Amino acid sequence: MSTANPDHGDLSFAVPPVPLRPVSAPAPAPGGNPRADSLNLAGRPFGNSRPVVRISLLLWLLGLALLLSNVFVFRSYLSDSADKRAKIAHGEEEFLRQQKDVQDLQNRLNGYDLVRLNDQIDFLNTQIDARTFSWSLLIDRLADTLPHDVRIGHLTPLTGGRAKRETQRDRRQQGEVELQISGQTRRDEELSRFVDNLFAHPSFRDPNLLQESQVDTGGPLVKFEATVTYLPGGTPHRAEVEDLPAGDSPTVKKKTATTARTTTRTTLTATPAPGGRP
Amino acid sequence: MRSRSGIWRQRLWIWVPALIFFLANAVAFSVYKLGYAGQVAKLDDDIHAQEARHLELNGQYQQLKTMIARVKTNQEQVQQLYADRFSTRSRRLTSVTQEVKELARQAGLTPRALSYPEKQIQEYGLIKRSFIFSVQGPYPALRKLINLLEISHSFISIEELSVTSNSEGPELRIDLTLSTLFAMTADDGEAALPGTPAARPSTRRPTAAGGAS
Repeated sequence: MSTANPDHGDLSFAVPPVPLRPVSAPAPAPGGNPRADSLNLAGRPFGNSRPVVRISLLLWLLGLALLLSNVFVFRSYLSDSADKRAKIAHGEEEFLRQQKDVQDLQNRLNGYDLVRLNDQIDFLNTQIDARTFSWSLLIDRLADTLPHDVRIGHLTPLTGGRAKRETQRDRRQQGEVELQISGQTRRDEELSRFVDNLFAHPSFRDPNLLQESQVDTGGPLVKFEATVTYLPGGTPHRAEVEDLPAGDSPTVKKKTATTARTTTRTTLTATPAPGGRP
Repeated sequence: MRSRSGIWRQRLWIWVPALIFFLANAVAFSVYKLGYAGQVAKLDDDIHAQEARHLELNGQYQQLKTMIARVKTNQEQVQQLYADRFSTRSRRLTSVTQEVKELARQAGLTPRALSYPEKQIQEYGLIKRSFIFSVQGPYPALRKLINLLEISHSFISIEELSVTSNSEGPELRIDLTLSTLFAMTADDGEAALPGTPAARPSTRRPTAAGGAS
């Protein structure tokens, strides 16, 4: 059994059967010494330093963690910022080089007379349109719309230089051709039927009767002029053309089926001028 | 027994260095966060901004490159059209005139009189030559002539067509205006357009813009 060592003022290792330090001092006897409570005669009085040690340890640990973190962060900052600055410098060089390339290309492009080239291409495209325009197909389709008593005398598609310049490109892009038609008929109602037929035909659009006039040539004759928008393309009809008898050969009429040819065409593409066309 | 504050005072050598060590590192961390981390973020922003400018410039570069390629292609096609299809007046004049007459003959039509008005299109270095003639014949002959003109390899366009019926018979009077284009040379008056290889020998058979094969 051990007891408190009065020489050292420390606790011995053994646990006393009764607490050495009473939890609460016995109530002073009435009329006792009031300073007896604070009186401690130990040479090295007991103090619990464990919280201090624990807090200190914690601070050391946190400080160490912060130190490690600082070292890591600073090292990565040094390397990252160096990399990034190098990257930015390289990017600037690249940017300047590319800016110079763009400027060179722009100068090259400015060297071309794009407006003139575009005008030339527009003109050539209208010529190609005129060349590839299928008259056979147009005549076939127009024949579909013609009533028995209407004759067409004059037919002019407004292709090439005849079409209005400003409408050429739009119309060509839509594949439309303006047609001018003049003809004659003996019956007024047949003319109306012709116009109705043009309205009904899928290859024609917006027929417009410009004028009609009665002509007295021994009988009633109505001469007329009209315009209509023609939509070329689609499957051509098979037009039956009778071959003419050649020379003195017997007049055997050979039926030859000809189809309006499918034209091979080159359409030049106009290059847009920078900043739009004037 | 010592009081609680007393023990902290007595054990200063234990906790004060720890606290100083901790505070020093905390201050260092704060300095990095407030000062240097912002700089890194700014460098990142600079890099992103630079990449955006780079992309924009690259798009501009590609656009210009495409445009120049298209201009070149167009110029080549125009030159090819001038050289292969239009050719020069001296090369094609007689052959195209003969061809028009021959096609009319094949269709069974005989043009009695032909006129050949010509117009110079200086702007584009071209000469437009027309063939205006009238023929008399039946409707099938007219259709055949049109068909023959359409399938011809030459660059001949039908400009205008006028048909007048003859009240006495099935024959029609047909007024036709055809046209063709020649590339101008220096001999044709004005100098040929720069870059127009009007005199360049044609080495390949024309396949585009006009005749069907």
